[in-house]
Amino acid sequence: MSKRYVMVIDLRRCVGCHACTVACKQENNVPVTAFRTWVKQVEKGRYPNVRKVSLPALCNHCEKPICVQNCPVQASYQREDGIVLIDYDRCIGCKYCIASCPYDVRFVNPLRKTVEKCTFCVHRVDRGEKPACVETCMGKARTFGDMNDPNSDVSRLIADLPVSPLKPDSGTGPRVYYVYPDELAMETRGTDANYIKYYHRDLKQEISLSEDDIRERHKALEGISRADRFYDYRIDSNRPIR
Amino acid sequence: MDPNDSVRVLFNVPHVIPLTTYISTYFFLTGISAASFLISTLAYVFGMEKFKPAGRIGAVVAPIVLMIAPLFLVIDLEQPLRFFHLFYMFNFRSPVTWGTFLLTLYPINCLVYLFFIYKAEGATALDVSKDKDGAFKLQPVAGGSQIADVKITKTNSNRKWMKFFGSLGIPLAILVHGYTGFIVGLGQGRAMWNVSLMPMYFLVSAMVSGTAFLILLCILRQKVLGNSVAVLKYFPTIANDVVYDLSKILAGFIVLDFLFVVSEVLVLTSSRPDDYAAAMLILQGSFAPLFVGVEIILGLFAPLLILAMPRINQSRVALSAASILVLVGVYAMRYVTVVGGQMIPLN
Repeated sequence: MSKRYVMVIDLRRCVGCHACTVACKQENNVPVTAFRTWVKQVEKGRYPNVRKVSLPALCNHCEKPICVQNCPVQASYQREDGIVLIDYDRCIGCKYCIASCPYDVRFVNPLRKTVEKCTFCVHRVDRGEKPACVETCMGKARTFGDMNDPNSDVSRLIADLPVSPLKPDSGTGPRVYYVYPDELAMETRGTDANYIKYYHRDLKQEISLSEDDIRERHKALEGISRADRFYDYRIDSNRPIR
Repeated sequence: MDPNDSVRVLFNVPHVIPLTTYISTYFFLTGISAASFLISTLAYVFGMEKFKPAGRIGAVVAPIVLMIAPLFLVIDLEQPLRFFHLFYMFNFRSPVTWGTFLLTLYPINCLVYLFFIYKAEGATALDVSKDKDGAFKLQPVAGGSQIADVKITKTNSNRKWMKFFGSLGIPLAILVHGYTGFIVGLGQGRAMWNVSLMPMYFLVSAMVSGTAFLILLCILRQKVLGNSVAVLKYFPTIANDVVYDLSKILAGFIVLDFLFVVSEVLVLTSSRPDDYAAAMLILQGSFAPLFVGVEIILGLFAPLLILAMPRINQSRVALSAASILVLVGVYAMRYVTVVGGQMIPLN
């Protein structure tokens, strides 16, 4: 049976240190204003019964990805092992995939001017390593592996513990599972006007960065970040024949 | 206590709204083009002689507007120079690809249709002359019987082609605007978009805006262009009662559009949490002034009121005002759907 890579995130183990966010940015040289993975933090309850919940989010590498279906130039594509990737040479930046993704994990790279998102660190996975966020997680909240292998860590976690993906009813078959999912933290809270404003705030303005600043910071990791060196994101038909 | 009350989001990363005014303007323009074309087929395909002068304006407007509209799409691309990828890397599961081909075929068809309208009905069929009082008069072409016969057979074949391309254009026009409804409808992540009613709602509001635009142009034609020989040759005089009839069609579409709005919002309020949030956003949230104020009250109720008043609905000023209100309202509808639909946080 072919491989099917999934991630299982144990919410009991996540302490909200944001190390995954940082590791991802370093590994993939993600521009300052954008995030491929991040940790949403929610406080619930009232004093004295208060609890803080962290919810790491990333691309769900869906079984039936709507972004791949809706991409007009087949720039978004899915590998056999389920990883959804983008061919940056094909992408025209129509942003329709961003609009149709139920998880809002895609964004336009302000420097490359194409859409991008989490790749499950495919360049590492192909070399037998774990994704950067999994490697760096100090609480070992993130587990990565092949769901089709019954002996893998992820298979055992999924079999043994109560797991649920985000929005299981979205119809896309998300493949990032959360152990002991927290209903309230996973909710979207769209009726909260202040949250809507906060959600769409402009980070560039907030930290007063210009396009040049972003470019400068991006340069610091150019050539050092491993994503660009080790993986050719172009789909087969787009690669020059050797 | 409602558990939702006690949940506060401490941190989340920001998300930019991907599709904005360029896209809503594009939807607005294709709607106008498709509806103008459909109204022109009333005269030239279904043979309603009365609408011919107005239909001609529609047939002229349709390709012009539709050649401007895709420019907005190209500008909106992050990589505008790569737009040609759309033509050879297509993905037939994506509505954007359907649009690529529709947006290519439809304006070509419109131009051919327009060409045959002028071949069949233009200068050959009518002759402009002045009568004794100096008023303009349209007369069938006079001439020797033989020449006239040749002309008539030619005109007949042209007329056949006109009807053919007109009928071909009807599904194309419906699709060229309908597919934009599918772009929105297949946006799976967005509660306000992913509604099966969306393509139909888009079509009806397109008919509303297109009819209003045509009424406005008919009135403008009478006011601005006048009745010089050169103008009459291409744009025959439009009788008052034609504009009045168009306004009755407009009123019908407004009522239909309102039914669609009501059924969409009503279902949104009693659906999943995200749908409810979307309904609240447009009913009492930050999009309420635009949705309730501009789209519903200014864009649907006010023009309907004007069109329903017995004496006023004959006056051209009132009709122009109603048309402008409708256009503003439909633009607000496009904006609310496109931008408002993406306002609801997804995580």
